[in-house]
Amino acid sequence: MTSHPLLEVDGLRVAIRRQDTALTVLDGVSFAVGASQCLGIVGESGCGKSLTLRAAMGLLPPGIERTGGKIRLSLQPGAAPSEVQAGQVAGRGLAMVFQDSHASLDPTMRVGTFIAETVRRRGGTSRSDARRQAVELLASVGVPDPKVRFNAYPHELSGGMRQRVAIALALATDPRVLLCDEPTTALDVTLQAQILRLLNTARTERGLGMIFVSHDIAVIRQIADVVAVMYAGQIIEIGTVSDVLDRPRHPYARALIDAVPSIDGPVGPFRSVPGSPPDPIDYGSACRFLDRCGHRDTACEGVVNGIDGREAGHRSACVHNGTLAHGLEAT
Amino acid sequence: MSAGRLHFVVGRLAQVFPVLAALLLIVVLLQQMMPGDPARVIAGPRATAEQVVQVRHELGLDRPIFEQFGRHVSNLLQGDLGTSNRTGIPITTIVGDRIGVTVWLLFGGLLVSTLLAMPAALLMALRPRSRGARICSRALTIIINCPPFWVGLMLASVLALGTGWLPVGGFGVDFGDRVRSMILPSLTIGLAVMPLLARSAAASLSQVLTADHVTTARSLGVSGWPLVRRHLLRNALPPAITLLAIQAAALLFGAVIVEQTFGLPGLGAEMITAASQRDFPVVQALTLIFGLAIIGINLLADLAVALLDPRTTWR
Repeated sequence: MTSHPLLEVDGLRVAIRRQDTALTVLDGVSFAVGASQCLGIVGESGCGKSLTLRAAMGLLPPGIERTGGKIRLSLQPGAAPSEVQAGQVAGRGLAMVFQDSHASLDPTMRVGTFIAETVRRRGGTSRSDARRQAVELLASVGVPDPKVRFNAYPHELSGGMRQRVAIALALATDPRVLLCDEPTTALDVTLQAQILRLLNTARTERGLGMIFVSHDIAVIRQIADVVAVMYAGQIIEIGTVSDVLDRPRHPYARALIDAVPSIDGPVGPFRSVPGSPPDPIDYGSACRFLDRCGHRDTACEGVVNGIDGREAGHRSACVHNGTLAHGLEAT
Repeated sequence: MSAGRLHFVVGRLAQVFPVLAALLLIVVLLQQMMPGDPARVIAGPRATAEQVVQVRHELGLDRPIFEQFGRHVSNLLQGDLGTSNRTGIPITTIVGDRIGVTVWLLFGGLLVSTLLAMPAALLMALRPRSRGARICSRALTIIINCPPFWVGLMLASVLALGTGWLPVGGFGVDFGDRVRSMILPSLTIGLAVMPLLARSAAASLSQVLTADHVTTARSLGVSGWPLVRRHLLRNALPPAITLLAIQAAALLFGAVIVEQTFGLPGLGAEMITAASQRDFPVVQALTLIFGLAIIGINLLADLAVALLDPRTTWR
C-alpha cells in the first residue's frame, strides 16, 4: 500500500429531509481506501451500505442529503487526497457498478456506443479512437466477439454479459476508485466467481482502489482485504478479512457471521440475529445493538460511537471490545 | 433493423387491414342506421311515392347490404367517393378543395401543443418543487377545463377583435395570409390537446428520472442537457407519443369545432354542413377519411415508438 490513501471518507453524515426535521441515517462514517486495496462493507439490509457509496458519489436519491463530513480523493497518481464536492467526482475519479445490470443499463443505447461516449467524455479522444477503445474495453472484461457485441442493446445480452458491460462502462471513465454495490448478488455462483475474478484483475492491473458492498460474507472473503461491518448507520467493526470474519469482536459482527451456514459445521437450525435493527428515528447516543445483544450491561447505555475506519488495526465499537472477545469465540 | 423490430413493423402493417375492413363496414352501415330517408330527401318534399322508390333504386339503396358494401368498396378502389346529394359535385373535388385547411390545422395544433407541452413537462419533471412547476401544474388544470369553442372565441375576441393583429376568421389566399389565419385556430386546438400531453410526458419523464439506468449515467458523469437528451427523452417519449396518437380522435373532433368557430373551409366544417342537410354520401366519405386519418396517425405513432425503443417486438 502506498503512503497516501486514494479515497478518504471522513465523518460522513447523511439525513433524510422531512418538512422541518432531518432524520440522520448515516452517522459519522469514516474509512479510507488505498491503491489496489479492496474494502468490503457488510451488514444487513437498511444499515446504510449502499447509501454510503451513493453519498460518496454524490448520487443520493431526492430527499436525502449529505449533512456533514468530507470526501477526499487523490485525483493524480501519487498525490495526496484533496477534498472534493459531491457530484464532482462521479465519472471523474469515482465510478460505480450496480447490482441489477438489467435495470442499470440504458435500454435505448447500444452498449458500445454508450462505452465510446463515456470514453469521449474524458476529453481528447476522437470518435474512431473512442470506438476502438470501447471494443478493447469490451474485450478486456471478457465479452466474446467484442466488435459484434459493440452494436448490441442491453436486452440482447445475458445477465453476466450485461454486468461485464457495466464494469467496462465504469472502467471507461478511468476511475481511481471503483465502488461496487452488490454487483454479484443477481448472478449465479459460477458467474459470481467470474465477475469477482474480473474485478480483481482490473484492481491489480490498474491499481484501482475498490469498495465492495455485499451482504454475502463468502463473496467478501474472496475479494476484500479489509472488512467494515455496518450496523444502523455506523461502522461498528473494522479490520483485515481474517481478523473480522474469523475473530469478530462486536457481538453483532459475531452474530452476523454465525448466521452464515457452514458446509462442514454441525447440522442444525439456521442461526439468525434475533430482532431487527432500530428505526433511524430511535437512534440514540447509546449502543444501537443494545436491544438485540446478549452481552448488554449498564456500560452499553453510555455514549457509544461508531469507529473511525481510517485508522489501521482491528477495532470494534463495542464497549467490551477486548474483554468480550474470548467469550464470543467460545460461543 | 433487428429481426424483432422488422417483425413488429410487418405485423403492425398487417393489422391495418382488418381495421380498415371494419371501418368500411361501419361507414356503409351508417347509412342504414341514420334517421331519415336519403331517397326522400333527394327526391324533395313534393315527390310522389313512386318517385321516391325510383330515386332509391337509382341510388342502389334497395339492394342487399352486402351488395352495397361491395359496390362501395369497388368505387373507392377506383378513387370514386360518390357525389354530393345536395350539389351534385363529386366528393373527391370537395375533399380536394377542403382537406388542405384541415391538414394545416392539424399540423398547426400538433406543433403548438408540442411546443407548449414539452417545456412544461421538462419543468414539472426536472424541477418538481420549483415555483414555475407549481404555476405550470395549476395552469394546466385550468386549461384542461376550458372547452375549445370557448377558448377559440376568447382568443378571437382578445387577439383578433381587440387588437386587429390577426384575422377573426376565414382562410387567406397567399401563404402569409394563411399562416396568419392559422395562428388562432392552431392555438385553440393546441391548447385543447396540450394539458394531457404535458401531464403524461411529465409523469413519464419523472419515472425515467428515478430509473436505475439514469443513476448509472449520472455515475458516469453525464449531467445537464446531455443527460436529458441522451438518456431521459428517448426513454420517456414513447408513452407520450402513444398518448398523442390516442388523442388524435380528440384532435380531429377539435378540428371540426375550431373550423366552425373560425369559419375555416375545412373538412370538419363540411362535415357539419353535410350532416345537417342529410347529405349522406358526403358524411360517409368524410367519416371514412377521418377514420383513415386516425388509423394512419396511430400506425405512425406505433412505428415511431418501435424506432425509439429497440426492445419492441411483435407479440
